[in-house]
Amino acid sequence: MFIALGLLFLSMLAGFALRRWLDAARLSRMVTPVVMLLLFSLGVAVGGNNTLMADLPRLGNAALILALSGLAGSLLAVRLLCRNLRPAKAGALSNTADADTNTCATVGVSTQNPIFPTGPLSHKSDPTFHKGDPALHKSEPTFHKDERA
Amino acid sequence: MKGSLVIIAFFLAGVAAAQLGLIPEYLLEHDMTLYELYLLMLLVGLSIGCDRRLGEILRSLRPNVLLLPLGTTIGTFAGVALASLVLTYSLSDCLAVGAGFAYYSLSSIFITQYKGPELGTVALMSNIMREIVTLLCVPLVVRFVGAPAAISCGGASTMDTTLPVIARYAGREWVFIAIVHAMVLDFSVPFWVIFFCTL
Repeated sequence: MFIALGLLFLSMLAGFALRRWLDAARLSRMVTPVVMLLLFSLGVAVGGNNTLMADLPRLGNAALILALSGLAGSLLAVRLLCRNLRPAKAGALSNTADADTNTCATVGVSTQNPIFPTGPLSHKSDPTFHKGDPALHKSEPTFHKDERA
Repeated sequence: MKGSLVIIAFFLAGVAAAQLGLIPEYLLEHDMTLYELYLLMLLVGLSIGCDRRLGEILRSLRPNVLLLPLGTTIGTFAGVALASLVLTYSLSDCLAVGAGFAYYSLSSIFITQYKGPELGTVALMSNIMREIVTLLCVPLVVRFVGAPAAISCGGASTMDTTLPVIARYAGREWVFIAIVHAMVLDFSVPFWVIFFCTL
């Protein structure tokens, strides 16, 4: 039962140990086809099961109720818990003054240059992420100060 | 959005192939998803481990930023717990589905593995619905409830699929918080899902 979780932990440690030699971008590209294969297999498991097929409308209904109730619940909880949450000022949100565009984890989004992929299942790291807009690095990182205020 | 459609397409292709009898009997009887899941865990773990962003973000974290994923977690669990009263599924089943936080691929696979394809299908549909509803409703939620609430709707998807729409309507200054929010939730999905599946 816990093999999957143990494997996740071990491979995270391995990934950290081997981070000099591994390419996070290539790894996350490899995740996508595996997920495709898995969902295809899930489809096969559902399609090969006739009682399940007959039940699909009921399952969809339950799924919708669960999705909407989860959404409503998190809206309410965040409304109550996070009243005072404020972001840093617009622009550079980096905590590092590192000018190296390849290592600096500047989190910047430019609307002209959508660097965040909306592609399938890029839930994990994305290489272009590190390459923040160079212009953003020039502005003063203010995240810490604002967070304390 | 495109990603969700591709996922649905693959899922439907699997359903159609099985219905049309294109899948060899051997594959129907011997479940391959377990080994595929192990492979996925290996790849996901490696890519988290060697990701430089993780360390940078952990170092820059302030506790009040963590309130947002905490709120999303508590709220989602409370919401689906209430929903379990009207559904035929048990409380722990509903919590397992809710704990996907819109991370449909991983959560539905885990749930299929531990609870069977019926609940796995519910998890897949439910979490895709959460993502699609978020994409559609972020502008409204930002306007009437606030930016943190809009980020919380997206769950674990606020660092990829729903990030552009959050950046556009909540403002770029929320992007960092949205990414931390998604990373924390992303990380917690396997733990919560397995926890609720073993209850």
